[in-house]
Amino acid sequence: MSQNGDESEEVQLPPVLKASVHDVRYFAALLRGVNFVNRATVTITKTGFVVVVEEARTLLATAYIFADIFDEYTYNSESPAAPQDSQNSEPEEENNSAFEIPLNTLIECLNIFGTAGSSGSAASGGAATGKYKKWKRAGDDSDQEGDDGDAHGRRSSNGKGGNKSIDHYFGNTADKGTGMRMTYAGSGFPLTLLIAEDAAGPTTTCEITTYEAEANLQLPFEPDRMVLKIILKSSWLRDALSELDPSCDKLTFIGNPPPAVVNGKERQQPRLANGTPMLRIQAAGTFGSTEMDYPNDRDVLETFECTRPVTFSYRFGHISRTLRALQSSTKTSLRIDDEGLLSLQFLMPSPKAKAEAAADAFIEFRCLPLDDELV
Amino acid sequence: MQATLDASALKPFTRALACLSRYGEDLAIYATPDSVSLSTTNSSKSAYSRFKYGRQFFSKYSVTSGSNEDEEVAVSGQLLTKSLLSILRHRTVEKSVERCELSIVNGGAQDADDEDQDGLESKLIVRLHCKHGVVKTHRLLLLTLTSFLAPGVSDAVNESHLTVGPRAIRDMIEHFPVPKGVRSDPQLIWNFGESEVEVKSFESSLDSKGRMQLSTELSISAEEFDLYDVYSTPTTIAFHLREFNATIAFAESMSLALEIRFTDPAAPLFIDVEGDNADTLFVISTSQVPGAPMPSQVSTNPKKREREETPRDFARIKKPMKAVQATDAVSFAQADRSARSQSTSRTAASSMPPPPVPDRSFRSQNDETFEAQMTPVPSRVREPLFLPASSQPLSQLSAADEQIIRDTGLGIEDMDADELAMMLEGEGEEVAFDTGSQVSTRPKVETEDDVDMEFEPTQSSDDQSRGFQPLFED
Repeated sequence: MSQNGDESEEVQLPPVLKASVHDVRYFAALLRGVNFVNRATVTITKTGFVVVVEEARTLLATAYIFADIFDEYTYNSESPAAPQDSQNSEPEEENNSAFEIPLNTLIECLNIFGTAGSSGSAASGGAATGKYKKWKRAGDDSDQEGDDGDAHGRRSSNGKGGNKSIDHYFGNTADKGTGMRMTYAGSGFPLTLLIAEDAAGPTTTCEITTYEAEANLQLPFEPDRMVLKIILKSSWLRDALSELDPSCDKLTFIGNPPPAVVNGKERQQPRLANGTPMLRIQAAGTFGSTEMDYPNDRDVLETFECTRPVTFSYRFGHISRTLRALQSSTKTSLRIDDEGLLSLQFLMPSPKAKAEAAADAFIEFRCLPLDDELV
Repeated sequence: MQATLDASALKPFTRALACLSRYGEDLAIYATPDSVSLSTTNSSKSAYSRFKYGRQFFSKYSVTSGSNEDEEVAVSGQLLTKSLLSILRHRTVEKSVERCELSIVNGGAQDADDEDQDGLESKLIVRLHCKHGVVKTHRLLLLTLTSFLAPGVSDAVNESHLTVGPRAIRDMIEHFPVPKGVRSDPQLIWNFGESEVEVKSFESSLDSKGRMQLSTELSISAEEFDLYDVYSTPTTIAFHLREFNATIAFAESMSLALEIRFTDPAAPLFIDVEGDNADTLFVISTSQVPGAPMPSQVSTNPKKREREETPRDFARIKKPMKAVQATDAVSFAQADRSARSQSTSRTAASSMPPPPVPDRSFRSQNDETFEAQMTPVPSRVREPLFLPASSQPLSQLSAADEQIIRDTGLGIEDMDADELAMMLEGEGEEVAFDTGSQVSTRPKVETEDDVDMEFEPTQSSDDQSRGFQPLFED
């Protein structure tokens, strides 16, 4: 409960992280996008936090969650204020704190009222909550003053205290979703979540044990080694991946330079004249193989940069991990470097069309290629 | 084979595949210059479904002969229905596909497309041309056709005809809940009377696990049917719902009426759904209902016919389950041709009424397994092929055996072939000789038929071992 925050204040240590948001759906959608391995490393920085998940030392998924998706975000670096905790900090980034957390548990906690929805977008998220049975909250105006004083007081701290009464007078037409306040007191403390369906409803407090972070796989992507860069609507890639037979074990991306770019190189010209596609996604499975060819059409591939013919294969099981993030994203950037390291970035549209040009959060997957010699 | 479907034809084609996938796992494709037929048989071979699309159904259609110069240009293959269906049924297909090309590339054939010539396997290539010039190519491995079951056309005189809209028949059937679960497959008993049809749940399908202790009975006026022509009025048949429901769902999605034909209990039920450029046939085996009245003509028992018919039908009960699978497309084509050419000459032989069912057979009727009741092999439709073995103790005996039993005067007419063989012991050879000699008196056309129909062990050798068969097969 709130005692955690009080205790830390008593020992003169502000919590490392205090974040609150009035609607958890977007936050939950971002976490869900990387939720394929339960143990996630969370790194907290001043500008937001980064959730990293890795699988088989090959696939690295990172969700970048920026501070401005929260209504309130306060980060107090552990290291200067509490030097005794410095062993927890990342050696190379002194100012950040990191911990590991069971990601699935965190998402389940956020969805404890069944209101975190499965979709990040505002429209479908709202529809999902609409179906859900709400806690009764009308007609108990007199009772709630005492019960909800606590929650109300907490709400007012983030400058939205007035909303509650207005909501009441307007019959809750503005669906605010489930609000959340997250506190992390520092290394060794649990991550404390206070979740309220709305100001008048019940609140729940979850404490999730955190673990000390271990070093993650590092797969740096050097932009100057990039050989293929494609930006396309996520729906194209999503449809392509979902159409593939699940029995496929290998997925190959084939890129060919567009004709305009390769004027100097004659050897590609005859092949392109034959209709070699710009981008081909190829998969082979038990019952056959599948190829999907995408032409150089602005409606399909918004950006296509390819310096030389590229063929790299990846394990389909790894690529299909991206599907959940892909489903809630709008645009995908697909990059491959000269050694085949694949970087897939999914732009996750923010539900609130903020006037300020806040950067949308995104999820990045990096995947090592299969060794063609061995396959 | 190359066939092109436009967006409007793709939908019924996908629906047909969805229906086929509910009948059986393996889809057999058989393409001739005039039509493509897609067929499947369920695992117990009690139901069969075939969709035949004329070339007009496709916007482009051609069949070119493969590598070997065969006079009959036909392409065939077999694959899992689900793998093709999952491609065509994908939700993005409906939105974005403008054209779908299906082509079959034979293994080893030199193909113009340089990517298609690798490997020796035949492939079904599904090429989806989507909006914005996106092309999706799926290559599915095509296996050699291992079994090609094709029931002939039933035109027996005692056939009953019903025509009913899919909506009306679904309204009848939806009163019979199908329990959830893959295993459950309830049966319904249909009693076609003078002016009413009674439908009720089959008792034996209720209490496998003590679940679904609900017995429903429904009477419908015959006026619900658009055409109601039942040969002999109380006719009672029973059949399983699973495949029947698939047929109804297809007919409903296409808004086409079902034409139902059946003859006797235990003879298969035929359902035709006629659509534009498509000829759809469903065959579902039926079973006799314990205690139900038999059509009158079955109970006539002239001794002459029994001598010939009974042994042959017994052979069919046992044999087709194994023998029918070893068919390849070429021999099917030959069988198909010969069946067509001989259909007139066979009429005499095959219009013989079904074998007599001894009255006492009914008491063991409950033991019958429906697996023993199968879809017929080609051209053998008119006889009830699937009389349950256990229900006919005497029929397993050759006429000579029966005579022996009767001659003994021991009052052991109930004895079955096992017991008789035990009793006769050393005399078995003599019995076999007797039966064999009867075979030679059979009309010639019959024997040829049987050879065509893939009973590799010829009929006469079967007959010679008749007296001992239960010893081998049980």
